[in-house]
Amino acid sequence: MAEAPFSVFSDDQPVTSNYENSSLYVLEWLLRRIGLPDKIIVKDVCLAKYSPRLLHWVVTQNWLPSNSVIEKNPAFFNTRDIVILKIISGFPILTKEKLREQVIFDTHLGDWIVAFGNWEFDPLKLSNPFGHNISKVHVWQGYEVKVVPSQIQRFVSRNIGLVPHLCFVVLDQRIFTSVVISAPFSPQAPKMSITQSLSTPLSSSSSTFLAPSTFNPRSQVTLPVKSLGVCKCIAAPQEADTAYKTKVSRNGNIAKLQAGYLFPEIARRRNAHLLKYPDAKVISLGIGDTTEPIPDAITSAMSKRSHALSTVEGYSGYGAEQGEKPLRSAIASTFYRDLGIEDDDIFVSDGAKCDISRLQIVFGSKIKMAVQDPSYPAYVDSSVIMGQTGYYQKDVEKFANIEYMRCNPENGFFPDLSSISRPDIIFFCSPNNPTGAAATREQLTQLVKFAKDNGSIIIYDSAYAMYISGDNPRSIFEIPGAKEVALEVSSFSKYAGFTGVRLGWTVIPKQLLFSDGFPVAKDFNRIVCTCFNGASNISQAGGLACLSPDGLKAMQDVIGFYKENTNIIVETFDSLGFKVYGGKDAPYVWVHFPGRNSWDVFAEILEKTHVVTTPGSGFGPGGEGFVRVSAFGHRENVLEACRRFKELYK
Amino acid sequence: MYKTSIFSYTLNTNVLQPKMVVARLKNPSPRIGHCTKVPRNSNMEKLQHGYLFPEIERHEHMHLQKYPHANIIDLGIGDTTEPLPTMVTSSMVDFVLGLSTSKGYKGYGPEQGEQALRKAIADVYYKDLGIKPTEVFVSDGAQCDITRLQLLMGPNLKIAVQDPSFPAYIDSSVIIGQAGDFVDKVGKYKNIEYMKCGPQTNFFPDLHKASRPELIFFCSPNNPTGHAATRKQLEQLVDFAKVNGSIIIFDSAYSAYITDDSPKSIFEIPGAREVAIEVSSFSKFAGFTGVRLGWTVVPEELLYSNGFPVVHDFNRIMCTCFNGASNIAQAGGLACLSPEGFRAVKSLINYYMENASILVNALSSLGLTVYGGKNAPYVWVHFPGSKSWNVFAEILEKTHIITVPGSGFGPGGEEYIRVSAFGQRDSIIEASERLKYLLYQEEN
Repeated sequence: MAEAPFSVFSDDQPVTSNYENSSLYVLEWLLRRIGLPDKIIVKDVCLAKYSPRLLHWVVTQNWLPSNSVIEKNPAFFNTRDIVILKIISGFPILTKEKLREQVIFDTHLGDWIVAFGNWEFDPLKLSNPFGHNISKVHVWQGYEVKVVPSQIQRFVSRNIGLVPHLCFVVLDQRIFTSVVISAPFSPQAPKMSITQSLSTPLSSSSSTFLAPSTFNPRSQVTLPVKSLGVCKCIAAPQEADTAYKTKVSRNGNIAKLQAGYLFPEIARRRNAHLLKYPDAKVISLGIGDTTEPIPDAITSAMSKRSHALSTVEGYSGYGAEQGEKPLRSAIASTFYRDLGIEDDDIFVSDGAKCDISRLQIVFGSKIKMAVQDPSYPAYVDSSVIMGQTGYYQKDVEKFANIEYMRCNPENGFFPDLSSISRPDIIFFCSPNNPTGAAATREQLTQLVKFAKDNGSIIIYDSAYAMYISGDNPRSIFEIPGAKEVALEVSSFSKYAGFTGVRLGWTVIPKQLLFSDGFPVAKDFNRIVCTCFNGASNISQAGGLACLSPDGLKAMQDVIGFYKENTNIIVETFDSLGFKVYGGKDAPYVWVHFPGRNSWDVFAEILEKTHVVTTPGSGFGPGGEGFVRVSAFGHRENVLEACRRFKELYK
Repeated sequence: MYKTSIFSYTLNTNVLQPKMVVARLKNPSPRIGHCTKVPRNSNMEKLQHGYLFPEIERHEHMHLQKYPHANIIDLGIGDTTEPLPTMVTSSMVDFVLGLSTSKGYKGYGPEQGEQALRKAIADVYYKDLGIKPTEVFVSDGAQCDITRLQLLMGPNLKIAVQDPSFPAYIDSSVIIGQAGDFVDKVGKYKNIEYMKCGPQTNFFPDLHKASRPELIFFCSPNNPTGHAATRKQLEQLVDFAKVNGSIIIFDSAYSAYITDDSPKSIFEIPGAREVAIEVSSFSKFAGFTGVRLGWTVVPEELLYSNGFPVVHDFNRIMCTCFNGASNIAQAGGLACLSPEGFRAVKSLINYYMENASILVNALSSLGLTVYGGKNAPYVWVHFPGSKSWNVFAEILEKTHIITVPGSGFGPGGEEYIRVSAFGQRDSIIEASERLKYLLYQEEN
């Protein structure tokens, strides 16, 4: 590590031609202005080796920033920042009013959630990057910048023996960055003098830290308030050492979870893109969120139920934990007619994701699971939380003790079961998210046989079953013998646009038994009664309306609409000569880009067409080389996106 | 005292003794047919019997079969009975109708709840307590959050519960694998610290006797005893947690029922932010038992032993194992916290509390020792020397009133029954009359 009066350097960006335009220059300039002593190494957060990973770690914690980092203040720039941002060009979306809009806010939120660099980072494994006290200053993450909570900073800094001293925000070219200068704690450290000397010159300075791409330290924008504000963290360092801690140890299973999560990373890329092209009309075909209104037939039933709750006759308190009888019965007769599923095999819930966790609780920590690769991330994450897995193995991008069943075009998106070692639980999603492949009757018959031979239990996720066009099975229970080896999880989310209303169900046949002969349904019932208290009665009223003749037709219309979207997308990629999978039985189109990295393709599409997709590798190593295009969207957006695809790949 | 003797007199103990007390969820006889090779989760096997309330429901069904025309009054489960204020339902109606328009349609919301609702909870419920909206996690109810908190904490820790207490604390602890084996002799799980809360100690545990737990479940106003811990008691509790490095999970689902100046939130106690999580709910506060809405507050200052903030792991759990409360319920919750809505739900609470005093008066006039009912919608009645389940069964048999046997809440609840004040006024008065008549009959 170089030691110089002002050694400003970078690990991943040449400090050469555009040095004057870089935030490094700002830092150096700042440090000269505040007259810090010699022998300082400045590490720019957005460029240096350690800090960006720290920053990255902090902001990639899926669980972390969305609630405590950004949402501390919906406008995550302080008042002064907003004033500044308003008067500089290039950031029209950062006005206070705009930031109050959910979409804009979410956009930025996502941007912060996933910052820069690698995906794995453990702060506890960090050592003091400066070692042996060779330096006094370290650039660190912010406090008043409303990006990273002070406790996290303290936690991280304590673990590498540094104390945050001051921080400020640098807006580098197109990337927002926050930095803090930290120094090893020593009682004699001139903390206050740094504060004062920083605040004084800055308040009279005319330099900008919030300039867009044409950064110029002599422009008219000032940032005194920001700097004053961030200096408050200087008052806090001792707290870092004395903060009260309970004696309760952190749950080791949760610590195993990987920091990065697919959708926040996509949101980040989209936002970076928006900053680069503020006027671009970005179309999102990424996350599979429904966009079309709920049919009147269904909302009117829910509004009726809501209204009835204010009447003596219509009020109802706790319902049955397993769901209201008419709804259970309607689900059984609509989706499982002639399949031998009885009303009381149906457990109504607040959604498939929640049921997956409850099922993991039923099965406990001592089982081994298998999962399709690629697949929906919640299966693996819930398994990790329950303690069924080992650690994450970075080299293969898999958790130990989970069987990843590769599904690709070569095997018809159905795993080679002969190569799978015996699992207790098999998660199987069909029609599959993300590949869009619906398993054939023959494939499912194989799967059921495999489960039976191995004494495994299949957790069959049929959340997209109504999108099936041909005669592929819509339920695992269409396969003879499945009732002895399978349970099924499903949802109203993608049928009736209930993603926000929350309603799903799980089917557990009485014939499904543990090795000692005890029925799985009984234990699940116990979990539902102890760990859940029923789905909202209003949602259930909506669910019941969905299954009336009018409701079914209305749902079919909505599904039909999304399926038309799907056709448009499939035809577009087909006509461009791509290998396209899925789309026939699912609202997802799985496009093959042989030999290419998913993230590169994703970036290329975004850069050139302003369309957001999902890189296949985000669903597991088996998704590499693919991109998922979702058909959830307004028609004009889908058409426009396809026009742009044709432009790009003609 | 002879007046109470009727309750220790039992017609036929064997018949009245409910089956659930002896039945274990072990498979009686292996079934014929295909068994998978997946072993049953041993934690599930440790659960002692059916969950209390479904079990009571079963008794109700049996009773109805015996007396098909009986007019049963349910003062058992504690289910709200009064309609929601129109102001609240109309905002839900508006929201629902909006969902069928392209402007008003909403898909997935944030897993932690809508910003506006989180802020309203922080502002209205925790006014002046410095709770930030980001520390509030909206959920589909307290019972669900308790399980998510157990998932968060994992199997390797020791919990303490008030005895008696709401059964979900212990059951979720057993399910997650914290509890150890059940010891039949004492009716307790080996690795759970039962903190006895009886009238002798003003329903507050003798903390000197409690060995160091990692998690302390504490419910105030308490379900079932109805006791709201005093400020001094809660200060002791926070102090105990701090000395022991424990985390308190404070259940304040009934705090809106407090009529005196007992703290409504654990965060009224200085230092609680470093040791406590609070779970609460719209169920009893606004009659949302069926609509499903609750919340949990995890302060940023609450840290694991390695200094890692608990709030971040809880957020991860919420994002992975939950997908947000129904947006319709959230719209209703927001309406409850508007000034007008708040007044309206407050009047519901007053109604139930009037019920409580009617029941307290009736039961006291019978010469029974009665606790609770002042800061909570539950009345806790003592029947010295009687088995709770026998008292429950006798009351059901003779008056067609459903109560809850105290022992269902833990060994410390033996000799008590809980009477809920949730009910329509007519039923409450009718129930009081029936109880008085039962006594009159027995006397003559």
